[in-house]
Amino acid sequence: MGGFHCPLGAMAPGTEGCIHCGLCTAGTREAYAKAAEKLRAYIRENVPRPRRVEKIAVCGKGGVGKSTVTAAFARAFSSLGYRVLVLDTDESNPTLARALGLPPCESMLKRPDSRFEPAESPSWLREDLDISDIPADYLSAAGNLMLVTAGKLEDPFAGCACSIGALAQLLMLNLELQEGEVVIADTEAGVESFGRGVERGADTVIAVAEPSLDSLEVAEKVKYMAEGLGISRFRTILNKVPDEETAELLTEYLEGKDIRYLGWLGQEKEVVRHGLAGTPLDKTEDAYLKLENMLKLFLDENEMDYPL
Amino acid sequence: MGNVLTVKEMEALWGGPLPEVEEEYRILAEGFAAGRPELAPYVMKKIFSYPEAKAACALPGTAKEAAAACGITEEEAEKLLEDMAVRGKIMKLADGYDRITNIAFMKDYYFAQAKFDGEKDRAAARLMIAWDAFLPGRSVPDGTFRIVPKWKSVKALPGVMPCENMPQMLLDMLPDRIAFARCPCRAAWSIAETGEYHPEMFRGETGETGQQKDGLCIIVGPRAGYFASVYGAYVPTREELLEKIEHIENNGTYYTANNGRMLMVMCNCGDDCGCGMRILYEAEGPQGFSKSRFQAYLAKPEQCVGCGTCERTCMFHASVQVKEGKAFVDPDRCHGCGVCTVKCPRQALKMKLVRPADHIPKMPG
Repeated sequence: MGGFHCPLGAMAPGTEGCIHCGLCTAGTREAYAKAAEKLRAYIRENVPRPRRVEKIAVCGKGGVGKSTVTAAFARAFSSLGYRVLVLDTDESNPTLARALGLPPCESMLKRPDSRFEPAESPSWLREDLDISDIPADYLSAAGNLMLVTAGKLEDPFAGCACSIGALAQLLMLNLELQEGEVVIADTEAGVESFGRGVERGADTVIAVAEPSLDSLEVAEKVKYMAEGLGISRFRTILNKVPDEETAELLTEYLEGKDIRYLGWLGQEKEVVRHGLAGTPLDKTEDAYLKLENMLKLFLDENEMDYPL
Repeated sequence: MGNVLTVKEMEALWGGPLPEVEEEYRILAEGFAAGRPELAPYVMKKIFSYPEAKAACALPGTAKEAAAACGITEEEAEKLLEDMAVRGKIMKLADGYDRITNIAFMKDYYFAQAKFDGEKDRAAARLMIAWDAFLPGRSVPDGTFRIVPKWKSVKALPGVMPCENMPQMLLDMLPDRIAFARCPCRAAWSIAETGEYHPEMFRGETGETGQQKDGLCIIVGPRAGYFASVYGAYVPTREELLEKIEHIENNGTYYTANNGRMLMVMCNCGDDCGCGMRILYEAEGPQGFSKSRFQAYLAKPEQCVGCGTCERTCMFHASVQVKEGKAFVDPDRCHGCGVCTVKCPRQALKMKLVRPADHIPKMPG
């Protein structure tokens, strides 16, 4: 250790930054170990932690595989030891509960029709909301994995989905998460509505993209808009990539646009099979393992642990 | 490399028969016992004049206390101490002065300061480098430092951690926790060779230090303020820092940092390093240095023309070599610095993630 090498950046013993740990003057390995222990204790208490990932919005064009990614990420988060709340805002798509392996839950907004009944926010949906404040009636849960659905349009004449979106957005904004808790929102399809929904409350946007120029351009636009909302954590996941060479082309395209990606999935048969059967991916299946690995990489990028 | 310096070797370094050393030099060398105790007093004798040594022995303390101990006026003592402080021989504190009790500190400060005494410093530099040669492996436990990849070589990869983003970590040090100083290792070497500090002097091909004001040494943390105020180290603006980073990202040096999640110290090492690292290379391999989490590989064999740039720029015992006309990376030797990747004129080499996050300890030490 030299003067340049003081872990706390002090010039010498007793100068600014010095905590008298004794690392610099240690003459023996024992003294060094003792000093390092003191230093560790100090750093453990004093080093600011990077802002952790709490609220993720999964975006992309319709049909690119948002629900697959959302469900696998949620399950992987849960197996890594996180308490996960999945927020389903895709009001026309009933697949998320199935992909999570959870029974469908009662919608937060029972009758999304503002013509007859004004859609008032439920009284529990206040600021500084804790996950446990969400009434059990609206949750579908298994262990530390939970699903809440903002609403479903079942009647084609039932009016506008805006009230559903507003409610989901309020939930996303109001949730105050503890360490070890995350929310993943499966957002509405497309780029048109970006910035008006749950993504407003997100700190991370993950765009799922297919190997098409359209899809990549959507990702690029979403990134631009996310930055406008002050969300700097933007990642892409490529889905339905036919082969490794195409994957390379795609990742080089993203690199060129300065868009970070977490990885790619192939044209996975099991995804299609489970989609048709309405069952979740097996945790031993390739697609799941790939997505779990992407989540781990994402956690590494944010210096977050795997508690389990 | 042997563990004991012979008298003959010491005399060669000293430049003649070894003189008696006064008690003061032995006192000043006390804290330097971790390396070569028999050599340390001679290093001190080259650095300190006898009046300086006497005054330094009275420290820690104020000029008044030093004056009383040495039998000189307070004014004289103040002048003596102040001069020693700006020359990196002692430390200037808020309420007086203190001795530097660790040779690595001493070397860093002595050679990072801006004033040199020509021939006298040349001899001191030679001795210090010789002394340094015995430090590696003994004072630096394995994994104290870590290679940080060139940001350019990994920035697109999934899983890159914040402690692997050197440009961002440096930018986060702005405005007052960063300064450009002269590199003590390169300065020590330059002075040992020529008696003067030549920022443009570099021994190898990696640093291209000559293109940059004050070389490549970047001081981070609270010490940056000291370097700026006492040694006149340069405090860069954001634009100047970005320019420096751009230069380093593209040159042949590699980043090293403390082996932890938060940046506390960093270096830009290369084959033009004066002492520490050069000696580490010439020994069996960099000791005390943990590899990065990445590894170079030949991603595009069809683009590789076997030009050998990678082989020439690799600082880690030929971990990348041209074999049968193509680049070949030895995964055991590759330290994941990213230099070959950045330097490859055909963009044939890339980096891949090969180690998990817990390769980088959460805590230092």
